[in-house]
Amino acid sequence: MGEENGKTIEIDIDDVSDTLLPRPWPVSKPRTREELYSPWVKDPRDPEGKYGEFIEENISWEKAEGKPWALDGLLVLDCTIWGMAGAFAGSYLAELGATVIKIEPLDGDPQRHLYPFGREEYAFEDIYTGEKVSPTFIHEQRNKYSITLNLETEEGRELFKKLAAQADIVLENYPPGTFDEWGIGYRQLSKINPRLIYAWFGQLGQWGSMKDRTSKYGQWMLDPVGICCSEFVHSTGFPADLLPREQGGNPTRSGEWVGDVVAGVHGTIAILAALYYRENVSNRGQFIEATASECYMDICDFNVAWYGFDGSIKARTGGWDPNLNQYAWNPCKDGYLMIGGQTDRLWYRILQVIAQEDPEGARLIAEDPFLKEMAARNALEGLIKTYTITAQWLAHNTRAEGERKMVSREVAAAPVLFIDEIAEYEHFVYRRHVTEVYDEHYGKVFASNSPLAHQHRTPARIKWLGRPLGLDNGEIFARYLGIGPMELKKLALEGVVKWYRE
Amino acid sequence: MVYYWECECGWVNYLDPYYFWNFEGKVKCAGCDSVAKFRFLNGELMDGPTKVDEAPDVLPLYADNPNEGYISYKVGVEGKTRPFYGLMRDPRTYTGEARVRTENVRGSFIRSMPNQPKKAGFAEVRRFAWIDRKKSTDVWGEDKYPGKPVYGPDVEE
Amino acid sequence: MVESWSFNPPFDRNPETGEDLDKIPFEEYCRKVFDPSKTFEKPEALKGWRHVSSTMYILSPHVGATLAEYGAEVIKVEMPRLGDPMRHTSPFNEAYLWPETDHRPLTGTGFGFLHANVNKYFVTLDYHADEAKELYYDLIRISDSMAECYRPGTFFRWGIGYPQLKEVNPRLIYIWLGGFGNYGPRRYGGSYDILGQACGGLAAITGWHEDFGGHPAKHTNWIIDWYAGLTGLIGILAAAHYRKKTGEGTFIDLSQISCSTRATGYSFPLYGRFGVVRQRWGNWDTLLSVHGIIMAGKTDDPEHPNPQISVESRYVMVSAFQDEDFKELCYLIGRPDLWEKYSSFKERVKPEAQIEIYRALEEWASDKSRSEVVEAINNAGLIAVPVMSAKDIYDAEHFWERGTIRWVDDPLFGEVLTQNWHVKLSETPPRTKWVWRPIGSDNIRIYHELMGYSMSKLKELWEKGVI
Repeated sequence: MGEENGKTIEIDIDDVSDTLLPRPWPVSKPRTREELYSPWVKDPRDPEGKYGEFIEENISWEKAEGKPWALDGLLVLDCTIWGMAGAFAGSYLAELGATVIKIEPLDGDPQRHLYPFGREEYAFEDIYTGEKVSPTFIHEQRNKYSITLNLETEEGRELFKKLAAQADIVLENYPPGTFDEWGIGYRQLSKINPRLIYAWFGQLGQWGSMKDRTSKYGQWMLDPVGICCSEFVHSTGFPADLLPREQGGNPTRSGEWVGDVVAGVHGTIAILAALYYRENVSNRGQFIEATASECYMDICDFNVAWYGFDGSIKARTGGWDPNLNQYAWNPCKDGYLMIGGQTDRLWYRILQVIAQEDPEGARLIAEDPFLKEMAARNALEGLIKTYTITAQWLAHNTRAEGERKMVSREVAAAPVLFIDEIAEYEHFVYRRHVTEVYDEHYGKVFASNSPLAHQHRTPARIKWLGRPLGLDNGEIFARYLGIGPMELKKLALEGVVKWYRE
Repeated sequence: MVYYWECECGWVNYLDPYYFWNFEGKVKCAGCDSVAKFRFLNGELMDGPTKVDEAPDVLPLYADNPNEGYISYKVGVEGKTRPFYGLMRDPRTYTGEARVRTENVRGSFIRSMPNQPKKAGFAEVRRFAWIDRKKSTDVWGEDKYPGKPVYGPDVEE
Repeated sequence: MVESWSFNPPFDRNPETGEDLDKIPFEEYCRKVFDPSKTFEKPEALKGWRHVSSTMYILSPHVGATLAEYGAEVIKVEMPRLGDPMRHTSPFNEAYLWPETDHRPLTGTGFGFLHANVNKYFVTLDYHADEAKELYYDLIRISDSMAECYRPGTFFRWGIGYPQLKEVNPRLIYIWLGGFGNYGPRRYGGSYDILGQACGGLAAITGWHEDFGGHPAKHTNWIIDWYAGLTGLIGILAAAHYRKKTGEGTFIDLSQISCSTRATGYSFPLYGRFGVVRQRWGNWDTLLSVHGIIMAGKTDDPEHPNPQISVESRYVMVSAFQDEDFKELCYLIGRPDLWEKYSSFKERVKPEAQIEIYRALEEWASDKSRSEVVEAINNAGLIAVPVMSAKDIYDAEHFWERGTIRWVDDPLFGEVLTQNWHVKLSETPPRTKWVWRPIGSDNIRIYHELMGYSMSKLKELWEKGVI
């Protein structure tokens, strides 16, 4: 890995926490609004600058504070644990203004204790009590209140039913049938509250020949089980012919639990559609089931249809795309650069850029009669030839240089950025795709902002990130159930709730 | 000349970037069958093609000859190029053999584009109109329907 | 009297047979409530909603397609004669569909267009023409929402940007979808899906680790396009809820790179607090162990002509991260020493431990075929699923009986296998009615029948090239 020069530096590290240094953010400030829209930047698309002005006045995240909330007044009970689907759905609803109450078992959501590689030095500590929580939990549970309720006791279930009687939406992702057995499934709750919208999230489904199940010892099915059963993992990654299997030429899952992410987003849409239907037509709720495998299959657009067409099974193509030529990332001197261009116009511009440094390679492409037709370049050989020559050019350019040269010809090119580079990228800092949240309990936390943060009237905002366990017990129980501190202490002794700071 | 290797015989062998990113070994030219040793490190060519007389470790995926009108060896040619198993389906597609599809997996009749005949090259250059064999030739012969095929010969299965 | 499933439903009685729904087992209850064959008998969630989709490619049409699946009336506006460039995209340039009666070369539509354009009505309009503005205003006046994906400022220049449309229809929900956003230093960058993956953070955490020789892997197809479209749809529906109270529409600026960044999990808190940059970790999981994908030795069908089945279909996902499950797994593969060594969760999840454990698993699996591995692990009571390809999905009963995929008998194109019903709703399920239509096939239906323009006016516009 580049040790040819013999330049290696040895560092003595006594404790790993010596290497963990918080970063000041942002390292360099982005340009100001005046510099970007200054009058001498004559942009043909916006000659008088009126549109830019309008947008910055109304849509920019800076103006978001104080605007109303879209889903104000909705009460959501989030009983999901372990997986991220419900967390995502609940977070989207909460960022748009709904009141989301996260109902956790007495030990808390197991996500609180999931650290990357088990390294507890990555824990965030509550300023008041020192309670540790994992970065996953902090990032995914936003704007939610946290109460503890032991749903395995009779008392707990009775309290849950009372809460559900007042709620609009319930989210849960327990193994199929669990809530039903406990008497708090949709069948039972819909009698108490016909307006309830009940959403179940999972991997494969509540019914069917391959439905969700737990292992013999009660372990749940988590992501990426769902996306393995949709066709996503099979067609993602490098084929063994382009990269040996030991080095990565395998079907690859996504680095993050994206099956859950997509199921959460699809589920939220279904919930909001059901809400629309309830408000405008029927005054009644529904049972919603969102599974990772099916939602993911939905967004793997034509893969299944192609099989039905002529029996073709979508294969992996690594960083390349089989549908368009010049739509891939290829390795370059210090990373990977993505170049995108499908039409003839862009194709020849890419060749012009390559020809400046590698005329031989550009000639090989430009003269080849088989690559003249736009559609013909998508054949496998066309892809191999094109990308080989492009990679040849890229191997002598860093990402920044390559991007600059391509963009100067109006070809879309972008580097593959690492996490820290994304955090410092001027455009994202300017628009706050990543933002620093001052949380009361955890101090400054750096998180990625909601994509719906740029809206005119009701932008989505993060109020706080993950809560310590059971922080809002007192408030929620008093407000919705009329249970005061004495009775709450009694319940805690019975093992139904757990008191914060216990 | 890092990833595409121009051998003296005039053939250009394409060494695909991901496989050869950190590669050390022997590659055989598809044109003249001579073997050369390479060493790549992080994409840079460290030791250039040195001719050796041993068996190759790997074959290139694709090779063509610019001096003779870009005739080429496609993937999977025995002894010349590597096979590519990551194919969507029947390898005959990629060797240019035409196959007319009129039925889908379930056996129902669909209206789709057939593959091009061999003379058109290795890729679908231009679509030509599809012929419905179930309609009679007198109908087709009568020029009643738009899109009567005007280019491309009748293709047999 | 047969009562319906939806209107005035008795929650505890099957309206057709009068049987008591409370007493039957839960799975049967789910089957009855979510029965895919009853989809078309149930109402639609968003009936009466009208959406104008001036969109291209995948990101923005998907918003319209999902709205249309839930019952809205979606009108897709394309450029005359050329249409959406996605129509001319198809994997390896192979799969195109033609309407039955029209075989002219350019009326075929590629598979890239599939599924982002279901249930829609297709009209054409040339925005550059003078009459286009008034036409568009008329269309907007009767719509609830509108999506567009052109570069920022383009619609404003043509007179149909948000500040102008706000006056025409104050209830309009206008969503702009794109790569980098509507304002900011790089607002004119293009919006490719692969760019979203690259710049947004998902490429930095997907793929084999650098130390193993791996590279970042691109998610198949155009995942970020699709997923960002869904996020935009959340914005639209939430704005609809808000609009019910106040009657005001809104503008939503959706950047798909932001969606990609949002899905990176714990990477950013980790970087901000500790300066640690998250890397790729291949097919294994950083939070749980054992919870990854291993390769078995053989495939189920080595003789099959398609190499995807004969060579590639041999991956299995194994999940046994709790202590008891891991113990059972170790005994199953004949390596009780692994259990002795890594009996605590924290020990197992370390990278060195993961490498050792997965290697042992793959050694055990190296002489078995995929289904043997899955069976062996499932019979031991643990969780394992095969990595399924399109053929496996077609062959599995699970998705057919749940109604997820079905053969849609499209009126123009014949039978197409497509995804039908992704999220299950018990009362207002989404559905696929037709797959797509040729360019401008609904010009008459929308302009003449819906909006009331006379046919002579349409003829005039056609000749001028406006539609």
